[in-house]
Amino acid sequence: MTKLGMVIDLNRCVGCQTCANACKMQNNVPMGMLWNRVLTEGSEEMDGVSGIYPHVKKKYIPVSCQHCENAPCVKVCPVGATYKAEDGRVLIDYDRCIGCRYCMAACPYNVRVFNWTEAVRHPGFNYGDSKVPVRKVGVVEKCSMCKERTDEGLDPMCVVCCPAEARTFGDLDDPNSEVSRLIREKNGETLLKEKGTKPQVYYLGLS
Amino acid sequence: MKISRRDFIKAGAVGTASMGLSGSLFSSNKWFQPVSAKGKSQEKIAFTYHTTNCGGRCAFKCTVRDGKLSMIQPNTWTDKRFSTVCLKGLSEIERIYSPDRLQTPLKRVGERGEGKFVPISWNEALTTIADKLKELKRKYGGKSILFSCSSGIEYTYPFLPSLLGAQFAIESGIDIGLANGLEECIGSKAYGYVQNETSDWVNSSTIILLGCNILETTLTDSKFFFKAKDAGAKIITIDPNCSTTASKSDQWIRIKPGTDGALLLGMISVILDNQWYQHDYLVKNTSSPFLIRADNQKLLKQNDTHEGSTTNPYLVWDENSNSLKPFNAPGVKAKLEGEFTVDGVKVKTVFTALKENQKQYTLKWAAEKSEIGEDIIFELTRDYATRGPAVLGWGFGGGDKWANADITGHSGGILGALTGNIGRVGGGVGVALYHGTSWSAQLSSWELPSQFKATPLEMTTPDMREKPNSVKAVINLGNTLQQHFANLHKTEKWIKQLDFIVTIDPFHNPSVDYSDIVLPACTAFESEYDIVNMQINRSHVLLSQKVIEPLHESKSDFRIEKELAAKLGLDQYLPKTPEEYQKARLNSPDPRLKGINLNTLKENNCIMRLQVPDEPYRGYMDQIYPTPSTKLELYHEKLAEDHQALPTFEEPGEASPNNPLFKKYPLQFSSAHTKYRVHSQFTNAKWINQYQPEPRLEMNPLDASSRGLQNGDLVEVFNDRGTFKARCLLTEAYRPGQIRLHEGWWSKHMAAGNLQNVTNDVLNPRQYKLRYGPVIPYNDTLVEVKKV
Repeated sequence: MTKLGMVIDLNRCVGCQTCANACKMQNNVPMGMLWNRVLTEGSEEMDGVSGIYPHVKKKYIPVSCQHCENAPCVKVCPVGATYKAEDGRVLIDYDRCIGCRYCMAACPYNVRVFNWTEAVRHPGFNYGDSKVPVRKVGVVEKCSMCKERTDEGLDPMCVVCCPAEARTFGDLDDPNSEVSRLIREKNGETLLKEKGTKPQVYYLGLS
Repeated sequence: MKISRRDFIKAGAVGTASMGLSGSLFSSNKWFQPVSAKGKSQEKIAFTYHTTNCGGRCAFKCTVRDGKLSMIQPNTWTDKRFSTVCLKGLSEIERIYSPDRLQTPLKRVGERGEGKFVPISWNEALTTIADKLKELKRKYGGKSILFSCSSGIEYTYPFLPSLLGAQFAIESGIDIGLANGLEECIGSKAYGYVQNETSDWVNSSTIILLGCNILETTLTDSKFFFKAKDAGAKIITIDPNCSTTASKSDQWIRIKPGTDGALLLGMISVILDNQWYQHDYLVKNTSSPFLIRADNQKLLKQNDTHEGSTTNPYLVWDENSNSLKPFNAPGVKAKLEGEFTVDGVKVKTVFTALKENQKQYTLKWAAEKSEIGEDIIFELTRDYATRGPAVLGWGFGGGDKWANADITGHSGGILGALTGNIGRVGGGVGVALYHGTSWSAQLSSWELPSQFKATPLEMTTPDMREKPNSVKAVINLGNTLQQHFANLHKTEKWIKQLDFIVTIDPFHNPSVDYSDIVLPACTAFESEYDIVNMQINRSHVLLSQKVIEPLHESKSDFRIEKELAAKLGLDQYLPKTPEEYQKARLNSPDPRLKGINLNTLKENNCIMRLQVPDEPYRGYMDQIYPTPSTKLELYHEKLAEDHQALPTFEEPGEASPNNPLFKKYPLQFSSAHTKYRVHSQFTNAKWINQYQPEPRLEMNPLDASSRGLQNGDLVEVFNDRGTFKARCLLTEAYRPGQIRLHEGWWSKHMAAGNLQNVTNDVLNPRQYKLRYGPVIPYNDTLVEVKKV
């Protein structure tokens, strides 16, 4: 079996937002609806720190769909629009999505975004990979681990563009894959482990 | 890391939570319509690179769909480590289509600075400019025209200044503060860049980054930082604030702003006191054994009435013969230390003089000045001097923009010499940003007939605002009027009395509003020509192709120069196309360019590595320096009357508690570089403004509470030069006593004013003697802040 996943090394993440823009571009994501956000621990402001000067820490954490093995969004979707694909991705069938947003409420990672109105795009045209479907008003969208690229053997755009080489994509079921090796050797951990969602995005240097 | 679900939910600054529950869920009849695939479109691929001067030099593989730039991916370099991009490059998808683009030529109709224009035709614009330039040239000579060029302009109008006999300036007084001191030692003129390529850091045992925020300002080099760390280098960042680089380093040392020189002087003393210096290296490769005359503080030479050189050699005390000998005489064994009497004149070695001069700079003194613990400075110095190859790297936005920067640079050069870290694998001293050092090659130039010569720059451009000079017209390429001068009110007075101002840029930047005629230029992605530009960077030749047709009525810089030259009746001397120009540049005998031509470049994604060794570039491995003596020169004779022949600490020009102004304006204002912009470029990029939507004045909560400020309050920053307003951002990352607004924000983004209204423009007179002239001490600025 294949179980696609990603490893993000927080020791290397410099919070540059390149992954966020790469994802936005590749997937034609409109303004205000990032699929990939870079959060800062301990601060509600961008690029903040935790602690009191000079005893401060700065830590960035990029968050997008965790492609959970036990995905709460899949369970609550009343129409089967959000589903777990055979290769381990959590995907959305935009044609089936009825916009109830139960999945958004269920997702503990807040990584889903909703098309409340006609998308606002700057520039005002569909940019990005032409194979990525355009989403209409009333549907939910989120990271697909760049299905249109990875199905063709390419890395997701965030992995390709990360200037600090903090991201690795691969098959978690293959013990010889780079992602498996990193998780094993460098103590890969998942977010909100206690929720039992079993994310397929692992972080190095999380704790 | 403690993260709760609530953290994700509330972290909606950019993204989901802030989308809120507005909008009716049931108002749309579109939900159940199938998602349609995009229709059939025409796609093509073209290659270009980021010309703007962040130094990241991303090369792009661009997808153009139906004539529009739709996707940017990293192009593949021969050396794949450089195949990368950052958020700024990707944001071009939006920025080139920005509403801030200049769409047509403009003519000013209001007052200068008011921003009132009417569109005019290209013909009218070019005719007006050419007529005015001809008239000025006739009346006052070509020197009355100044081309003032932003560092982000790749095609810098290489021919017009010569054709007109005009002056040309790029970054007068910027990024050269530390280089002034360092390169007096090395003899180079390389903006103070480190000698070795960043990829050599894997060979370093210790890397000290002094005010060098590489992980924010050279994102594309961040992988080399981590590779060095993985290879075992100890990385120590010295910064007043918790920069990203500080946060990723093995150690963060907090320093009082403006005291970098004091720290380095203290380190020199620790090295001398503990005899951690490399005796043989100093004797062999530096001016340490040269002799200083006590009577006039000059170095002793064979012929003291002439400048020193290899043919009029400096004299040393030869241990073998116990006598004076030329430093470069065969078999000479120069004494590193000692005092001697020569023809009744007392002389001592440079090294002895250094030791004496350093007596005032004890560890205790350095600790008090820099507010770094003595033990920390001691350990830092031990790490630097005793762990093997070490880098002392700094940036352009920290200690550089202070009136005392040359002293810091000089001290850095001495530290590199004492420890043998210049011309050493894994070593290096200087600017560690922008991958500024790599293999290069000599391109040919396009020769103009000999009667066409530009006028050498009369004076550093900040001085043109106050000292008598010839300039009557400024051709502003980019946004120099905001960016290249501190104290904007003084700049405004100058530009308002000029006869004629032209701005050429893709965007309606703040300089545009002062201009009489404005020309819309293409971005790096647009051109009328298939081949656009070419440069050598990171050991590769990069070629740029047309990606899309010029937007609006814009023209490429090449075309604008060509058409302006035609109006002046001089275009016959210029290349006909950029292709012809680039072909001529590549027609070079340099063996490193062998096999690289426009055809082979096109066959190779427009990127080819030079014919150079497959290892990092390292400078001065032969220990021959471009100084008069060919040695590292630690003693700077010409500064003897300034008491800076050896580095002597000087308080900051303005931002010092010893300054009486400090009582009135107790906060130091810094305008540092950010990952979100390149100076004032990308200020209007909507994809980046998602993350940093407005200017925020960063300050420590202690400085805020003593002024009754809360996070997000609108504040006024002011001093005797002027004021600006912005909302404050309280952050524990910031050292109390220092406040910061990232540089580059356009006036229209500010709540009021411009940050250059307050910046310090007082030049240090001593620095006129140095190779780059005086530095603009932007960060050597005192202000006060109050709630609006």
